[in-house]
Amino acid sequence: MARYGTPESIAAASTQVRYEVQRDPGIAYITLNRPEKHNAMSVPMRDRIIDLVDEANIDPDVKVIVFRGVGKSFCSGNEINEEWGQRRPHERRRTLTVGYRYGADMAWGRLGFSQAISRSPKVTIAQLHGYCAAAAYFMIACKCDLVVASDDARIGALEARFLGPAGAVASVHINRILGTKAARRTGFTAMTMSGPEARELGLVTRLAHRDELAEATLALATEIAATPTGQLLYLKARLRAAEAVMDTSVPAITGLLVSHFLQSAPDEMDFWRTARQVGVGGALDADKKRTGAVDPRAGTEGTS
Amino acid sequence: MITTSVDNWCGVIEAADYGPLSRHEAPFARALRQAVVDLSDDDHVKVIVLRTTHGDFAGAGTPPPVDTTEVLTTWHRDFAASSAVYQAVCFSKKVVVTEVAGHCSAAGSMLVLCSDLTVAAENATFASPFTDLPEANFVLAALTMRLNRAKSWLLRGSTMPAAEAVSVGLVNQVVPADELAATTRELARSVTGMPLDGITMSKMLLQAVLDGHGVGREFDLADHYAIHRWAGLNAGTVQG
Repeated sequence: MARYGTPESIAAASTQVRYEVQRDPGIAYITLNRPEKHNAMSVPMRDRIIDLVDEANIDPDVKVIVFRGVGKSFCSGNEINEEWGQRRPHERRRTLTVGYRYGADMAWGRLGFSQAISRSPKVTIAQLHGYCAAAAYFMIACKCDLVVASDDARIGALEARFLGPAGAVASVHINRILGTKAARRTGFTAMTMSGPEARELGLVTRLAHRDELAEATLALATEIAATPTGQLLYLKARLRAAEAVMDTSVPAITGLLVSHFLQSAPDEMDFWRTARQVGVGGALDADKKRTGAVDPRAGTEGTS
Repeated sequence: MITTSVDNWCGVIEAADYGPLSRHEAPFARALRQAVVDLSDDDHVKVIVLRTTHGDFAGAGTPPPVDTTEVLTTWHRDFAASSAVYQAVCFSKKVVVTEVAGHCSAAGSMLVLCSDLTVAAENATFASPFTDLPEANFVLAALTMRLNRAKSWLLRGSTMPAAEAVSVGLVNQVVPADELAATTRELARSVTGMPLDGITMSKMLLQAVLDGHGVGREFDLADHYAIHRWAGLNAGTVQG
């Protein structure tokens, strides 16, 4: 499998995603460690997550895999302003052709990192604090079997503000977890869920105060790891089969792919121009001020 | 073992408890299946109530491992087939109500998942059906409780108290134990106020919806789960 990314981002991935195993009781920790970017995941970081989940999958001592983050947030989602080996970097998100590899990785490919999580034979737990946004929400938190969240967590499809709502709205998985109205709310409004609200809706298994979050996760993981290995593998195997018949393991989010790479409205193009000038944070602030997307069919396009 | 009665459009099935299903006692499963089918076919029945006459709805029990050949033949006929007990309840032509007091072991929880409506006493508890019963239907649980709650129930093998069961949507009502029968009677009366054909047509529609979500396909996987579940135990038996 081709490895995408710059030499620097590939080299950084091994420290940006840490791996450790507590052999007793049998917990593997995959820790996102890029706190200066709210643990935004680069392509090499996502590739490393695939490798680490594979490692945990075949480690006979590992029964539970915990995903967690260092710093203020669990994870702000995918890094959206990176060079990752595009043939024409200035077109990084403008066409489906250029986005093919990126889309395959995150939305519908069988080799994508979210598939590594959702199809793992080991029990997976997401430990959420601070922001759990965009890909971290629908590709880690929603793909894990169990979720432990701090009461100050802010969970949701924040990317819908500038990329479009399709991922959060159309995902079979999210509709099954939250119910259809709540799934549509997360997608169409980009409003976050608090930890207690996510618990109320069914996403979060256990809630804890921020300073007791690690302890709560450890307690849940230890409880699971106490199950005999054969029984746990059996339960996960039948869970995967049942999810297959429910279609919740299907990775296809075609609408997400389309909404990410086709940006026909001029003021949506402004987002990327602004992002290049002042960074994604500044572009998000500017985005809040815009009055709405211009319909390109009205003949007002051509400003980009 | 099992008695049935019909009064004013309401068919009632009574057993001491439904625990024999958790132990895979085939004669009990066949008798319960037949009672459900007979009442479903009765033109003077609109609602079927499953009730127990003693303490627990389904007392604890663990099924013994079953040999692979038996899984695919007799065990399949009694517990996994489309005509077997759980699918007879899940796909009944009438509205099925479970009235739960005390503990629900694995099979008790499966009957609750397969039924349309559930009234529980405050002392009711609901064990995960997935650890011991290969025929347990996870899709029904996910549709009833939402996906992650069902996953948590399965993976932790946990037992839910009545208050939690009502908050996650597994049961419709929780009432004090001495009000259980009256509450069920009232709920059944609400159903019997509807036209018979309307009830049956609604159940036909509901079954298509359940199958659209994968309920039937999940039932079909029960044999595979059973072979997997008891593979190690069968190997041990052979080696022993």
